[in-house]
Amino acid sequence: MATKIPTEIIIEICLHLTPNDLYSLSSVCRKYRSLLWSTTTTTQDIWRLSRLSFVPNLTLPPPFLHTYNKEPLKRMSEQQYIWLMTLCEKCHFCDQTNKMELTMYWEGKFYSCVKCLTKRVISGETLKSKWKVPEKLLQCLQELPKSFDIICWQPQTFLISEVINLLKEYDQLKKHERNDWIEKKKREIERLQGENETYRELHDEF
Amino acid sequence: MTGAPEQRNVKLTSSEGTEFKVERDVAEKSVLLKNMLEDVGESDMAIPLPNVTGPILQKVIEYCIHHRDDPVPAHDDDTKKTDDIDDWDAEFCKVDQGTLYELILASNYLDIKPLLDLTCKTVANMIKGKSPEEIRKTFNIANDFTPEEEEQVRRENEWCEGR
Repeated sequence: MATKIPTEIIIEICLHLTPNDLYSLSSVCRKYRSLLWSTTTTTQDIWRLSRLSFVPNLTLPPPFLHTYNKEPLKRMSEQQYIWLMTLCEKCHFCDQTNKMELTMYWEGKFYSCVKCLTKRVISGETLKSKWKVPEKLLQCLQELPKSFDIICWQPQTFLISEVINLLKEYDQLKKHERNDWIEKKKREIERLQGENETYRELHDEF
Repeated sequence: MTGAPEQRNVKLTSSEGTEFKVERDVAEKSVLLKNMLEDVGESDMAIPLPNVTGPILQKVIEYCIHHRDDPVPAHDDDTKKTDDIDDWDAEFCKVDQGTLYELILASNYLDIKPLLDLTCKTVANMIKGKSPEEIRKTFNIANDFTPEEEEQVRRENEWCEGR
């Protein structure tokens, strides 16, 4: 099968495979890796059709990712989306596998246990008082939903990793670029937050 | 009713030059042949099929005869299921891997969508539920990853990096 069958036929065969099988096939050899691990339309179509055929509750397209360095918003790859929603079985940061302990945080696109998440969030108050982050920048961050999981939850809780990436990008801007950039970020964040809610409503369980 | 008009046979020649006679409605299961016959009209000339060997053409004809009265398949259905192969089709696909690939290539070339689907489904069923190593064994594929690449693949598969 490795050499004799043309790629178009391999694609036909892939249309009958589950996402799990596609993961296995993509780990077989270089040829299948390059076919199944790219972000080309063909590859994304293979995974998308597999998702729609075999994971009937996963009908929303992959969500947008928060991008930095002035890149436009782009969607998560089908491979990663499927992995996240159907194959991932543990906390993104530790080895916790008890599903009762794990929550999906769409703001970071990961499952996390309370302990790990608590270590990775920061409040708007701390950002302003200790990190000296200008208040208007807080609107450029995705606010985590109110959750009793986070022990120290307060309004305006953010992921530290997102804050760091945002500040990095902000620091590279020239002064006159800042206002436009903030406006653009705010619009992107509004869109992402709206989307997060849609995904959260539809997929509130592991 | 005076019955259907008498069908003319169509002659096909395999790559080795063996001639096969089939009834026109059987040949027309192949979209390629159907279009050819429509273009050419009535003719006694054999149609050469240089990409298809005799034994494979024999199998393809066997399939087309069995399925001659099937309705034309509805337009591309995006949801594919592999558990709907009937007994005759399953039996038909009990051939060695080489033959199965030849059948895939022939059905692709002759444009016989249901046969292409059936043979692709059969290969897909040989992949289903298997680990990468089992897939390599089943299809005799060499693992050409270096140990570093294999580790990379493992990490990528679990989305360990880049986030």
